[in-house]
Amino acid sequence: MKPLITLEGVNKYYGDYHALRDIDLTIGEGEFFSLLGPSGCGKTTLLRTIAGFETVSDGLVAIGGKDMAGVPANLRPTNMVFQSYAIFPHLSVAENVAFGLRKRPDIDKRTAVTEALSMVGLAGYEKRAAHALSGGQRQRVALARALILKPKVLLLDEPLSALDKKMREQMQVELIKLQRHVGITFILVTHDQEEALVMSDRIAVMFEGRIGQLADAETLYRRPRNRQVAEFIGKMNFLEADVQPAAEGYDLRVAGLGAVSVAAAQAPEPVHGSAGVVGLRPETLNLLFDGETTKQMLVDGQVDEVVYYGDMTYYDVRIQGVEKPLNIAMKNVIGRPVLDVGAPTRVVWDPRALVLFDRNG
Amino acid sequence: MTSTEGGRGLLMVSPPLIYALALLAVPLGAILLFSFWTQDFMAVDTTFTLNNYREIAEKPIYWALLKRSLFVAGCVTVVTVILAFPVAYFVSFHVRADRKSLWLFLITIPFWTSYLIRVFLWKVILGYNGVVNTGLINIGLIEEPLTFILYNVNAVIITLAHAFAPFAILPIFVALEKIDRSLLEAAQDLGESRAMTFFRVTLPLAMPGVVAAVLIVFIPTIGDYVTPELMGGAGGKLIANMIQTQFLALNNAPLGAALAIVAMVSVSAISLAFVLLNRRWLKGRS
Amino acid sequence: MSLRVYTIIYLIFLYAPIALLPIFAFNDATIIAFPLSGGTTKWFAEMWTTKALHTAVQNSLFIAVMTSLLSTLLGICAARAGAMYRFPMKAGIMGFIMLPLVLPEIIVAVSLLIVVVQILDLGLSNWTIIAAHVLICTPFSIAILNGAFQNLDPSMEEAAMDLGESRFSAFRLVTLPLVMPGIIASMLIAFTISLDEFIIAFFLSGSSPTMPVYIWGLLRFPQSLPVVMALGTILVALSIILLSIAEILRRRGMARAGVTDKGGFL
Repeated sequence: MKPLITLEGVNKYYGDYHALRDIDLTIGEGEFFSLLGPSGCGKTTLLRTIAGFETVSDGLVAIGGKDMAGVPANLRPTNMVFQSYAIFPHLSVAENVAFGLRKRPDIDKRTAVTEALSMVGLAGYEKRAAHALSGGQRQRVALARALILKPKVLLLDEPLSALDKKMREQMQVELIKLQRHVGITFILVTHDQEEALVMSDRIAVMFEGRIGQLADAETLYRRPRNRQVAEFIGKMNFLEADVQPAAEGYDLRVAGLGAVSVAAAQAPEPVHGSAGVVGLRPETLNLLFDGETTKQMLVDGQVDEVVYYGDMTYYDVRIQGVEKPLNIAMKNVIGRPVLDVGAPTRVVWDPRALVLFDRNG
Repeated sequence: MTSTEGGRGLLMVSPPLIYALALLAVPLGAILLFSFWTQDFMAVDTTFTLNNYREIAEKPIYWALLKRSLFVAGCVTVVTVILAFPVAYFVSFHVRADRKSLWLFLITIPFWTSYLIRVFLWKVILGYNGVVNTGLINIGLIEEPLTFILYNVNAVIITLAHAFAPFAILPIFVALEKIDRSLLEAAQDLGESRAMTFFRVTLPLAMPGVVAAVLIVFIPTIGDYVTPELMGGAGGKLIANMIQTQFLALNNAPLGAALAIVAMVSVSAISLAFVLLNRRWLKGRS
Repeated sequence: MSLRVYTIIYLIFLYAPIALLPIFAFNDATIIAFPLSGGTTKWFAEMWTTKALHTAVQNSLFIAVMTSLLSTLLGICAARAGAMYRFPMKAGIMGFIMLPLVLPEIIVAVSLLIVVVQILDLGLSNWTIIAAHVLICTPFSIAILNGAFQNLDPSMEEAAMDLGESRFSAFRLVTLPLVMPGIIASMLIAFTISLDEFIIAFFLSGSSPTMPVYIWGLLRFPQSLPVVMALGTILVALSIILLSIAEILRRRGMARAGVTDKGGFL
């Protein structure tokens, strides 16, 4: 991966408020990169810093090896799709898309606009008035308007948050295809973890102005670095554990589950001392129904809550020695009943699915 | 300076701010200064003195004028706001959304048309041979023209209530528009009648608008000398007429300045007291 | 239903004076009273031959045009600052600029009179009136322009800058066209207010009066009242036309910015 954007020691203050804290980040050419985090975590500030709408208080922002300090937004090789789309309401679709070509006489407007519009699936919409567009169409116009300038980087600020669920899922797929088609770097800001997981090559999860973890989707999901990341991405059950270092990993005594050994790789960050927490994703746990057998580990429990979702059933199951019931996701397959609240059951678990964290980390 | 948002904002706001400082703050300071000086025939004596204020306090004519002015302004305010409220309520609650701005437009138009001529026409309406009297005689309700409707305080109040009507309607309308309609449904759902819903929900929520309407009518009314001059007759003159006389006829600017200060301070004090009395309605809104 | 009746009666009350204007303007009698005595257009004709009136109208037009330009310019600065930036003491500064809206006009008049005549020792002229009119019209301009600027998506200008425009050309290409209806509405309103304003103009006009000051002089002479009625009729017609244009533009601006109309000017 050839690096395109480099951020080194970037800090941003608004008065006393520390919005970005020591951000170090490299984003590669042609990468689909996401900034993910809860609102107020600094992800939009970081995006606007790359775009040139915010100046950094401290640190380096470079694009294509060039320091961007003092370079205003209009002279940067980046283009942005705004959260509100910022479609100019007094211009037609074609005029909106051609807006940035005013200072580019080398490009033939008509062909470029036609191309850009057909690329986003809006061929023939040139003459439409901007205010007569639907939400999805506005977003496509915003995309065409940004991509027509052939930027090195396309910045997307929560581009799907204004769309309904169905439209959002459709646009996720289209954005991935579009990014592969144009081949440039996309940087997506989102608070929706599913959206980030589905679309990105790599994801930076941000909390309170810091990057909590930077990894690809699978690593983030399976090996979150700490409980904060684990809780933000998907669901996870946490159980306290006593930790003993062993030859090739750790020997654990997990509350409610008992003694077990895990590989060193199952602790994304090394655990010092004996206070640990293990995490288990709900879908790595199973209930053992009558007539089924397993070679896996088993623990007795009692159903505390049942939520039926159609394709899935979510159970809360109480096990001995643990205060909080375990969250378990079961696929609804033929012949598998939905248990009632209060029913005794057995929970199947696999030591390989455990993730180990330092309790104080 | 221009690199931060605050700096850019200040730079942007500086032309109107400097203008207002130069043409409002400085002149207001000047008038205050002047009120402590005295007119010595053609020249102004710049020795600091409270003589102007002493004269205002001692001569009953000024006190009487001020009292009458505040009374008239108070009456105008009460009449205007009470008459305006139902209109604002009607437009906000009973007019189709797309027609509202047309109604507001209709209400504001008379306000923008020549003030002097409008005042004069009230004279035509209320005069001895005016529209009201001719009309009432023609339908046989009275035999002699009514005389208590012109050249007195009543005429001043009617004319001013007319002049300030849109000023009262608009703030109340804005406050009513802001009321979430589901609050009214909630009140009725909780067992209140429509009338009680109005008194327990609508009116309290409209109070910021009512307070704004009161201030925006009460304060400028003090500064009008046209209506009392044309409509008030001998007994209907107000403090603004006296200020005007001191400045333009008697050439006693310092005394006029002191009168202006006294008028402004009284109005501000009353307005402030009014806002404080109503502060429980204004909390967390506006 | 009764509310509607009440509102209609109220509107009749509001319109009663101006409705009388054309009646007396075309009435063939010097006394402004009923009964009427037949139609005439001679009062309009008399206006054309009155030299003093022409000068007054010229003065007023000059003052109104300058006022509308200057107060709109100041209004744009204030409305843009108010809608798009956070800055220290914002509420206080904006409140101070809006203060003339509630200040008794006579206070503005006498305080400026003192400064101009007694302190600066300058003569009174059309420019002293313009200075005062700009002060009282700017808050109205701001109120109108606020609507235009606040409806503007702040990322709109950023989008233009992102697409290669400088800060200034982003304003020119995006913001200006979107707020243009508001700007024109503001100019028309300021023009109307200035053209009509008497209380301040009476204090600050020099040797050559403005139109309202001239009318004030006429009101004392019963024989000139029908001409005042004719003049008033023309002024009212003009005001209504200008205000209608302002209102249509304001609405078009709202529609263009894609927002729903919430109501009138203020």
